[in-house]
Amino acid sequence: MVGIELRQEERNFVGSLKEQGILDNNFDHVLDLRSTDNPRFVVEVISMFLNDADNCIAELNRHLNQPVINYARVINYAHQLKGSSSSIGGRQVNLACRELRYASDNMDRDRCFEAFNKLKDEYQILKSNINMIIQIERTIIASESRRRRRLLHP
Amino acid sequence: MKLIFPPRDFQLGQAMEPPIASSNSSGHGGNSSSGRGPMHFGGPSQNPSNGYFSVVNRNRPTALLLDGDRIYRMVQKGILQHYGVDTQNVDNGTAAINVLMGNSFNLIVIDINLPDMDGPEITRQMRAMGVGSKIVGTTSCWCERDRQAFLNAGADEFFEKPLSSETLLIILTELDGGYEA
Repeated sequence: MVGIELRQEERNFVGSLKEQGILDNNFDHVLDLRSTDNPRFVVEVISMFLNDADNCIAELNRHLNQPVINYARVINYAHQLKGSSSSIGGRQVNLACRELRYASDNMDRDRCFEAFNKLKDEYQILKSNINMIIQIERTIIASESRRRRRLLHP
Repeated sequence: MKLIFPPRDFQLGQAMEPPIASSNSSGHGGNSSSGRGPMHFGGPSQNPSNGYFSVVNRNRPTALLLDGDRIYRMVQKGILQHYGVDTQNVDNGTAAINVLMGNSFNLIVIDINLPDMDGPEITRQMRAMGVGSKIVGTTSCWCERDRQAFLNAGADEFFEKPLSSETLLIILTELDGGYEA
């Protein structure tokens, strides 16, 4: 019952994030790929995304603060972060990356900084919220693990 | 647009909704030749109980997913396998060429941005090797210039990532050139 309640809590939370535009329907794919064979899929994907995104943001910060911006590198990192964020349904981060990409294509330094600041803000919002989803998932996994042990050893 | 994501135990060959055209499609009909011979789908028939169309797949399709982003590879591979597609991931063009030396795939999905070469270049090399698979170019940020580069290099279609369920259904159904009469 605990697992069912937690799943409902997770669905409600994800629904609210979609209503706010923080997540889109692509996140449902991540949830749907969770299985009894791989119950940790959601935790693994989100954790990997956060690790890679943190690195992308750090690299973008470094390149954008060079005296001469290497726009090709900025485009590469924006492309990577846009791809990974869209894969997990990070809608606002996806849109912010698009803006940064366009600004970089035009080699518009001011617009790049504006877009990057927006990207950092949206990423922090996404990060804090999907970290909560990780916590819910870990609680569900622990609960289901205990339930299976009780079934095996009544 | 509501995404169509079949139930967990869905496999090609079970009921599926009819595909809806993707707005990012190149408009090309898709190359019906593949590295492993044509896949055969039976013509669609509608299930009276649920209204879904069913497409019979007599061969298990295979796909090579070439993308530098591990998150995208992980999720897209999971989705393709959910559709019953045996999927192999590589993260660079050189590795893809090596894999193709000894393997063939019905579908190859290539990102525009790879660590060692761009997507159109690897597409050109694959076609020069005689790879006849359906090749789909992808990007995380739509650009007409990139689309033309991929198509000129020999790709069949070009889409913005991530590939929606509707787009995947179109691609997978087109692998054999369309429904049999």
